[in-house]
Amino acid sequence: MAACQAAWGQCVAKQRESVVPLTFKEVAEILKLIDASECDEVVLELEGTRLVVRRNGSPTTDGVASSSASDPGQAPAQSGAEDPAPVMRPQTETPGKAGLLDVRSPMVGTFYRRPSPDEPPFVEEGAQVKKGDTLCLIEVMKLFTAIEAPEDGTVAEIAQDDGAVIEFDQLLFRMRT
Amino acid sequence: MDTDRVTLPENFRQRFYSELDSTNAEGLRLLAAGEDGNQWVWALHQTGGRGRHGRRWQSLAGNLFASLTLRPQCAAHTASQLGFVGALAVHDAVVALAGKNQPDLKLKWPNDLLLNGKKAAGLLLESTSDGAGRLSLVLGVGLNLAAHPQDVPFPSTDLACHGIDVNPREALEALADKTAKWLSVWNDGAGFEEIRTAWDERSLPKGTALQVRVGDDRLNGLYRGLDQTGGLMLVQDDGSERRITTGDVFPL
Repeated sequence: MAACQAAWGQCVAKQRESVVPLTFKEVAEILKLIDASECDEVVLELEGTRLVVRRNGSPTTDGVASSSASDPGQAPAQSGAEDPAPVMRPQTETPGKAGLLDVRSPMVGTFYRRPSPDEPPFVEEGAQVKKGDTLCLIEVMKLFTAIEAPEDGTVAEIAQDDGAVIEFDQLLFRMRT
Repeated sequence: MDTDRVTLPENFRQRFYSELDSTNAEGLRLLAAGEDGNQWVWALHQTGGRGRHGRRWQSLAGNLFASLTLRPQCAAHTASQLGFVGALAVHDAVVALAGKNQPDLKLKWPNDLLLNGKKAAGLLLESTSDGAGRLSLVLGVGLNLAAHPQDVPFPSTDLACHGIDVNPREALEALADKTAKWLSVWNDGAGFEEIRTAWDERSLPKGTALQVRVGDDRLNGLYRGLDQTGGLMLVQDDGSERRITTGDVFPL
């Protein structure tokens, strides 16, 4: 999978509407199919969304949203022992909208906005945070992971409810930096 | 008692404190300050011992409070397997400490140690994930050696009640030794299948009636085993199978 990560340096989803009609898992499946092929560039247009995938990542200027295409096989259903790619990906550094920084879940689990049920939430919308401040906890099998703010900024949107079960790469917060 | 120094396996370090708020909290602070992982942080007294999701861990004198700091080189969902690694280590450490006087030990999902059906040890894994998804993680262990709490939701016990008399230092040496062994088997997730099999051999038997409490929900069913990723498989009363990744498990 590391080779795949190197090969797919560039993956751009150009959004014309606010919602991409593809799940992360579907994009991952598409990347796998393309990676097994001989294509150097694939353009897929679906319901107002344009997905451009280039091998070896020539730079592009037209992408509204870009993300590292590493680790495409890491869909939630396949997580765990067979995890082929113990590689970190910068999932929290994906700008979803201009000026906004998306913070996405690095794991499947339960989302908690509070350190414990009796305490106030870590952050509310509009809160100023510093890089490294805890935004939320995610629990999976009694591992509690504090998700940190990737930059200084303001919490623009809290995308999940307290106690929600979340999938890998699901949007947790939008920050204005 | 010479408590402040234990013999550890190669490549592990230690920090001893007479008192801490929480060994997990101190471990996370050391990692945040840039210290390397593979360090056992332990204390004779804890003033703010932590349990699952902000619960208090009653830290009674004479028990073991220790946390191993780690910087796993794997994805976060793989790192959650460390709970099973830790549970195996605690189980095998107690087996080693018990010697010829072997009690009935069983693991309860995901990482509690039951001694004659009562909780003798608990683990709490906590980590921070920075903007790039890099984890700083602590594997915290509370092992009841000399005393156990009375007013807790799950009945508890301690080793001394079963004729196993050890001090925290001896317990940590055994724990550190078994943890090093199982960490090396786990190998950042590559060896999870072996971990899963070993955990299964030490668990409550399949078919045990369980109640899983998730928030306010109560799910009753029969224990079916661990799935490929360590999730608890429960066969519910209506015959359907449910995979659990969060919750408290109570044998019925």
